[in-house]
Amino acid sequence: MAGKIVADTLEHSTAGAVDTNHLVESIPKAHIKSNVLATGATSNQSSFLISSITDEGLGDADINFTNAFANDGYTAIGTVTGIYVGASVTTHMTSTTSSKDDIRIYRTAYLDAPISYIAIGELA
Amino acid sequence: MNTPEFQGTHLFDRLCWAKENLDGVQSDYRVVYEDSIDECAKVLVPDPNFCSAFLQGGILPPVWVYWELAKDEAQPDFKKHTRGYLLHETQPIEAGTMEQCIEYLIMKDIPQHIWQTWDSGNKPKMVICHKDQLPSTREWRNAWKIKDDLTTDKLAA
Repeated sequence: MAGKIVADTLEHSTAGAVDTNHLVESIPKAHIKSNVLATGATSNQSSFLISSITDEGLGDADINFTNAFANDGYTAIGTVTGIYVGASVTTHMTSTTSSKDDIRIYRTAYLDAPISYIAIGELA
Repeated sequence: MNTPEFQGTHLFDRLCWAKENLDGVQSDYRVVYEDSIDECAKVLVPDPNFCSAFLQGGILPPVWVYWELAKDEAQPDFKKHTRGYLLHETQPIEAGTMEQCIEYLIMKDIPQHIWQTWDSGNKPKMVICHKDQLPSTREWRNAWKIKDDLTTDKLAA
């Protein structure tokens, strides 16, 4: 692969050194911007490492990964996009595994809304 | 465009290549399934980048690799995947059609007890349909069900 740099450690002249495995593991691995739960019929507008979204009901979805994480301890952050002020996305609900994240969208009650989502962690 | 020889390349790197070189393909197919009589129907929506990688061939691992990882994770003493190499070192699958892509996604992302017994009850537990066969709005989303009058010998939703 062109332009490949192989290094286990990056060291600065005064600021110290960092093992590159931390850098590799802490970049976002999966991301998605999707309106599947907003319109019910359309698509993922931008995504990576996602195989599908399962619409499980009002404000309820599974995000399925193409490359599983090492376990279900990955960090995931989601938000609603657009006009849904005050709504939040909860990740790692009950059926979360290394290969899917079970999310909910909530604003006083479960809510359908477009979402943006990223997941960070060590891959399998 | 030909896919590079990817066997032994980390799946993440293969997907980076696919994202950079392939246009996403949004399938019109949806998979509707019911996991419990007390829950509404679920709808699987394929990802465009996944579909384009499947159609291209030489990128994705065989679906049984995902089953093996799921088996490992189901063990009570599971802490972390130790057979992730199956994703990266198994010979990738050849190019397929969109219909084969949907079959692959069913076997990857829908619980096995659904798709293995989809036609064993009074009505199908799982239906493949086009997106325009779904309700056009999400009104009463939590009441969506597969039609009761649908029989397993009829393929349309």
